[in-house]
Amino acid sequence: MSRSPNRLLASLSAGDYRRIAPRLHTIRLNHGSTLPHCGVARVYFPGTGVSSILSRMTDGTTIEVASVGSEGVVGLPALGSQFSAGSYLHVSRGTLQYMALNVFETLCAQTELGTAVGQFCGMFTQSVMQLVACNRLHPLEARCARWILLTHERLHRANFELTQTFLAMAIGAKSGELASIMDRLADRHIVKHDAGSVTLLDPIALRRQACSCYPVLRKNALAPIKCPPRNRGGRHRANVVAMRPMTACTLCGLTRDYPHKTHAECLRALDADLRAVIQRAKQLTQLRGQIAFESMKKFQQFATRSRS
Amino acid sequence: MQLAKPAQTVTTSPAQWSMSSLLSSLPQEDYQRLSSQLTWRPLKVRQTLHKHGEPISEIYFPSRSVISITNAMEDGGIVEVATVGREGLVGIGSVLGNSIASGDAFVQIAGEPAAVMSIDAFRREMERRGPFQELVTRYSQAFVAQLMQSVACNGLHSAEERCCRWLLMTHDRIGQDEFPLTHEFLAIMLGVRRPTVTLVMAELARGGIVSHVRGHVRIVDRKGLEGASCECYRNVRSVFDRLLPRSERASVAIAQ
Repeated sequence: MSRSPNRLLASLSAGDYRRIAPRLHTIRLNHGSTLPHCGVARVYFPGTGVSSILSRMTDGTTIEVASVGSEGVVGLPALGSQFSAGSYLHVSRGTLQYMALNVFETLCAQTELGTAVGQFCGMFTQSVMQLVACNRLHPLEARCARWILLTHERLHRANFELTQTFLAMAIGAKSGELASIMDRLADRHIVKHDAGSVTLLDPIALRRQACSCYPVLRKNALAPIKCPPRNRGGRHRANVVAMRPMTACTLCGLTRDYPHKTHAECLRALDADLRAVIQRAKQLTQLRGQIAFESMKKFQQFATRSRS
Repeated sequence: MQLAKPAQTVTTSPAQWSMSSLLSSLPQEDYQRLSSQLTWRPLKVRQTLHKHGEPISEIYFPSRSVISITNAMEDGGIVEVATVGREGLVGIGSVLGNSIASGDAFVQIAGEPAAVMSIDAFRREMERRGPFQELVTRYSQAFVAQLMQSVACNGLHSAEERCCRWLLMTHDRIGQDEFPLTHEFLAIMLGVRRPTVTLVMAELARGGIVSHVRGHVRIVDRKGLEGASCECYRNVRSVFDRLLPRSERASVAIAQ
């Protein structure tokens, strides 16, 4: 049976998922579309996309309050009771699954869906707390980098649909401010942007630009959802499982594709990392060449001027 | 630090302290059953109730106090992310799926003694799925709404608007026009520099909205303060009023 692209749903047992699947519908959305009836009559499970929850002030200014990807569910009345349906927007093209709100509430009570959603709520609240602090303490440039990087990681795509209007709305920037930030990033070959999309060229450099909230938000966005087996009226279980850090292979020391069961898997991981390192070396050599060339040109201009 | 309970016996509630609204909204028999598991503990300013990263072991129900939840960033910056008063409880993370505290919770304004319950007693009471569980769940919804509004507020609104919002929320929780507050402390909470707070307060004082002496603030013109605040105060207030209607009647019933 094919599994849902949404990791929260995919973490459920086969039996539970069989009960839920018939009540799920699929929808494709484009960049910037509203999630229909979200928070009012439907809840959404993002699959290959990211949904944004935006807060709108009476003077029209908006800012993103949280974003949810395949790790969770959007439109819970418990997480956003003050938001109308128009506050839920979709970032970049993707598919989502949805179900009716009352069906969702019933299924939460009857299956392990409730437990999985509870785990998600904990991580979601942590992320929101981080964002409260971030929006106050971190400069716009760092927050912009953080936003682009996190969205890139959730979508697993280097190029994704994103208008500057949307990004400005998401981080609460005026469009002029954002334009100069994006131009600076483009000049340093970190991202490439045109009218409707953004391409990530140098994620490592972008990571350096991003604020210190990025690791926390990333951990919550990409955390595996572990669904404990059904316990009838048992004691509350601690959430430690969901926050277990990644461990590395004892032989090759890499975390890629952990765990490694055979030497061949170690070798595959090592090769993949070596390829990434070589690629990075090529990029750096190229960048060095560019900067050296520019510096030489400047010197030549100076030399020509002083001769005349 | 477990101080001895005050002279009142378990069956009579401490009516002269205006109690936590959550507790006073409970039906009589639920409150009676709960009160045997509550201890009343006076709070001290800057006392830490929960530390970030440590498991939550006790739940506090403040009465006329203000507790700040702060987030300490990797680079050392600190800012307040939420406040809790008599409308709620400290330790809501345990309801929202985190048994470990997400931020530091410490006492801003000490007010009156708070009711304290162990986390096990709290969970047992929640599992009963009675009025207590319903009230706490509604509070957790309102708390998240407050958090999300703060994300927007911190990103969009000026120091003056945020300061006014903070003063309004504190005024609601304390129930008195005057309360102790230093500019230094408020600056840390709002995530701005102390001179900024001093400027804002001077401006508000010039407009006749507040008056401040060293270490204290007095709200003079409540309406004026609401006008100077951003709409975030109203938004959160309406969510709270909708989810947790103030039941003064209940507290009167318990007092008898």
